Amino acid sequence: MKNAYVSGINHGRDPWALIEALPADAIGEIHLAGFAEDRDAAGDRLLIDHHGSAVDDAVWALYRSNLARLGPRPTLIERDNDVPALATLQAEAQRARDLQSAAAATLKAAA
Amino acid sequence: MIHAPARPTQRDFAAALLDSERGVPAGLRAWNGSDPTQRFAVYRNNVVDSLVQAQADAFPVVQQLVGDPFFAAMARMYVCAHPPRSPVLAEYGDGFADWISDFAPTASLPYLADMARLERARVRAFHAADALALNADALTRHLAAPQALAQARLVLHPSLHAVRSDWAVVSLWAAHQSDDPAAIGAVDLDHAESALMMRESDDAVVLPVPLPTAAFVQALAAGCPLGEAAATASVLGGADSFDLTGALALLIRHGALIAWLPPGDPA
Repeated sequence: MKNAYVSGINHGRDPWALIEALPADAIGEIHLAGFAEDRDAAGDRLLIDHHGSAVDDAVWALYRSNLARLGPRPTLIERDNDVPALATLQAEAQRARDLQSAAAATLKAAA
Repeated sequence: MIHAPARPTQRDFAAALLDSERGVPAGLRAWNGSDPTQRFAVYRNNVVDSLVQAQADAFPVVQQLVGDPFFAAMARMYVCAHPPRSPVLAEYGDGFADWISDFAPTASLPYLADMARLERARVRAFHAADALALNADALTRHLAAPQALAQARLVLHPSLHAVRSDWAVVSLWAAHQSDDPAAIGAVDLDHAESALMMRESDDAVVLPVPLPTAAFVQALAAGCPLGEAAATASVLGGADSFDLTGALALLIRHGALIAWLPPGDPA
């Protein structure tokens, strides 16, 4: 999810279009992570995949949209650098669980 | 006549990532028409810095011995000349010690390469496979057949590594783990030391041992039968004679023996 967002921004493409083009039944697990932000020579956003910060709100929004499309999927939050306190990581994991629960409830109500 | 624009190949792209003197590969362009140099520099920094940081994490005492800026510059040269061949960073760094020993700017620290060997062995010990140690019954049975001992082959725990140095790198490494700032200065570097490293309870332990014991372990690891390994260790021991019983007891106590192959068994 984060790679779709980073690549989309870095190459001037719509991240959601990248995700939506993936066949739903091929998605077994979703990965979330943070990125660092820089600017290119034209001053446009240039995102760096560094697994060293919290998941960005824009990535959470893509995640929520994708869960609405797919239903809940196992999710991995990647954090390899500048790892914060366990409570911070647990809160982030809980946010993913809450979004999964909400997506499952919505799909159930629609069924 | 239409000429296709030059397209950078993956090989050119990868080579330029590790060699800042090559410049940006021809044919790169960005979606917004901006100069790709800036974007490529970010890519290059990300690749090289992540590898330099991985080396810093794996060789903390080497880093402390030369200082952070020197280490970063040295590691940058190493990673650009010898990029990893595996995507698993824990497997990266086997060649760093040999590279350091040929690195002229650190010639005034002749023990530095051995410190890198010790730290690398520790990382390898930490990431080695699990294995069950021989139990007491099996050991008793093997030790009860003394006529077969000399030809027996001892299989060591995959995490067990031996390091030998002409310098007191084991003491120096231990001093760098100490909270006492005077500990490092108190180390007399000018004598040989050896150590065994292995994983115990999810930690990589460093066990200082006499040189013959380290040589014994290295001979066993190379596949020598017990008698030959003990002879090798005794020759190396010189005045510091080899204590076979003590060495075996140490290996047994630390669960370092995982199989005892009788004579004739293929190793």
